[in-house]
Amino acid sequence: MDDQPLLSVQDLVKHFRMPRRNLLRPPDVVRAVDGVSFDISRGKTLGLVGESGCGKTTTGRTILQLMRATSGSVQFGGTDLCQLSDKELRNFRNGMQIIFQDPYASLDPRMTIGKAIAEPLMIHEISKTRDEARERVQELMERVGLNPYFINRYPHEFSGGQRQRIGIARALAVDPDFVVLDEPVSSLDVSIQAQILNLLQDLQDEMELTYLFIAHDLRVVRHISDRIAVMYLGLIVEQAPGLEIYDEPLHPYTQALLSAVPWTDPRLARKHQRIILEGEVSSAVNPPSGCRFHPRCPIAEERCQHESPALREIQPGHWVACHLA
Amino acid sequence: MGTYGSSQPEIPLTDGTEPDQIPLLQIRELHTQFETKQGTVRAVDGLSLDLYEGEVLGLVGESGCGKTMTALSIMRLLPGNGQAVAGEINFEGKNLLQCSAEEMKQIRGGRIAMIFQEPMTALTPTMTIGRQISEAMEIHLRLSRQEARERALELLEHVGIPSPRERFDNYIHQFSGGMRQRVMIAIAFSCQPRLLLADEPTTALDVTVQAQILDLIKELAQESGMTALFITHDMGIVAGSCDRVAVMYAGRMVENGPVDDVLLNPRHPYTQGLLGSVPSLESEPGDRLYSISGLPPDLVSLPPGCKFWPRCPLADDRCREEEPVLEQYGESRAACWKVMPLRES
Repeated sequence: MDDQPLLSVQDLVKHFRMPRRNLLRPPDVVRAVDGVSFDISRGKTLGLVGESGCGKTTTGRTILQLMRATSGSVQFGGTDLCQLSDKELRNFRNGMQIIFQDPYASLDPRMTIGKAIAEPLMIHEISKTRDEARERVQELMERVGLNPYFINRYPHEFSGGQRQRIGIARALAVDPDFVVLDEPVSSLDVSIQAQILNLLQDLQDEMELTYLFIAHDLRVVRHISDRIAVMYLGLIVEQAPGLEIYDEPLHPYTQALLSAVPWTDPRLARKHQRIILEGEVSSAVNPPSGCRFHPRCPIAEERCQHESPALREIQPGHWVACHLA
Repeated sequence: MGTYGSSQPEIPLTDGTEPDQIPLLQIRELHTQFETKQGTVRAVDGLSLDLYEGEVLGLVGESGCGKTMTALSIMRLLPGNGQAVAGEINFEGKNLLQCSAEEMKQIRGGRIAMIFQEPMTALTPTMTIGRQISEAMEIHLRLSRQEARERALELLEHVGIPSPRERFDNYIHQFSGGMRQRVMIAIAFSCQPRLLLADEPTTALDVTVQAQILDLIKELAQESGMTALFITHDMGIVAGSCDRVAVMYAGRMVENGPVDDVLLNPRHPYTQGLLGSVPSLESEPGDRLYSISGLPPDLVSLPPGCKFWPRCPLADDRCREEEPVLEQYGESRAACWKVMPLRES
């Protein structure tokens, strides 16, 4: 990979304890993220894809230390965030921001959008006075395509796409280096999706932002990512430069995911042979032995049931965790 | 579905062109409205649409364009004070808008079935799924409790619920999202409907599960020669699952035709915008996506002329004043003053 990555995640693990159901037995543990590693270079986008429950959102939040990791390290500009105390973390918070999926739930309904965008400016003491903050808010609103005239309005007066713009303005207010985008366009209509994706790309170019783009829509991920990592049950099963994974998916799970993408070209839709996966995603409480994908894998062999495959670099920059790739 | 579809005549798959036959469902100048404090919301505003036997028609558009309200008008299940104030919905020789409540009860779940986006809200949480499937058959097919149970078990197996006998007495919260949708499909297909209305049946599901569910609906529909109206906002689903497509904007139809023709040669700027907004395999990553500027119109005060002009890059004076009507272009129809001559491919 490129020289010095801005973000380097090593063996990140996040387990959740379930409430104890039986006093005599240890509590169940959900292995949401179970040893994930990747780097993101400055100004680049890593697309993190997978189905619901695969641990992609937990990965994003653990990187930002919104939840503390069970083990592993998150190097951000040379500092291991996992080793910092909550107090020490404060100085890093403005370098990293998050944009959420649901622009309805992530804004306080009783706060004008001007106040909502100004809040991080005041907390991080970036703007010293209210007037200064107000000026900066208007600047930010313009930058994300909102009319500054609406500064005193409340979130309910805006559409979904506009609210997502407010969320973006709020995240960018502190001038971060790194932004986690957690399904930022999946609740929006397609035409609005395109507007927001274009905006995110423009902002990345202008502000040299580094993105972790979490999504399940592989059409959107292909469009926006430089590299793509595919997660299944808490592990990365394949990681490669963006287009390579679409041209030459090596992991059977990636192949199945890609074969299910509803491309809008009807000729393609007919030609594409869908790989229908049997069954459902196994539980993260008791993940299957060996390769976690083996119960659903169309090509699984005997050894896949016992030996868990390590990520191997099969082509330069293209990593796969599969015995048979 | 083997025994279920045996009474149906063999119906050839349509190639997407409108066949010369009487449509199974015929919507004429439908107007569905809601009264609000702000004024009258014109959710469906003069929609005409034909659905032919055995075809799958995709109804697409952004949220608020009236696609769900069209389906709910057909079912006569409009929420709140919503009302189909004018027009006709003809199905099997009856205008559904004039049917009595009693007649509608017979049709709903019997001749016309509907699949909703969120099975969790459409199914009863306090009744076992087995009961919910059998109940419909006891009412519409007049089966005995035992017969209905047997058939419900077959259906559950057919839609891919593992060990149906054990699952029969489960409640809906005990199923995953994909399995819930399968239960809803089993209920929808239980009384061998002629017409299936599927409202965003896979929007809440993961991609691989979405593919499974779409294939299942398609397979069941083909087996029984059923006609389906697929409501979706995703042109990708239209490309993979439908024969014809109708594009709605502001409660009216702006373009319709065979899927290949409309998706490969979209005439209406709105259809072009919808297609351009979705990244394709041909687009270069990092390119700007074609996006439709602005927002859908306020349904209380629609603009004069073409309803799309405030967002249309081609609009001129005529578009602002005069509303275009649907006209034939090749195999498709579009309502736009600016339709370009057909690009030869």
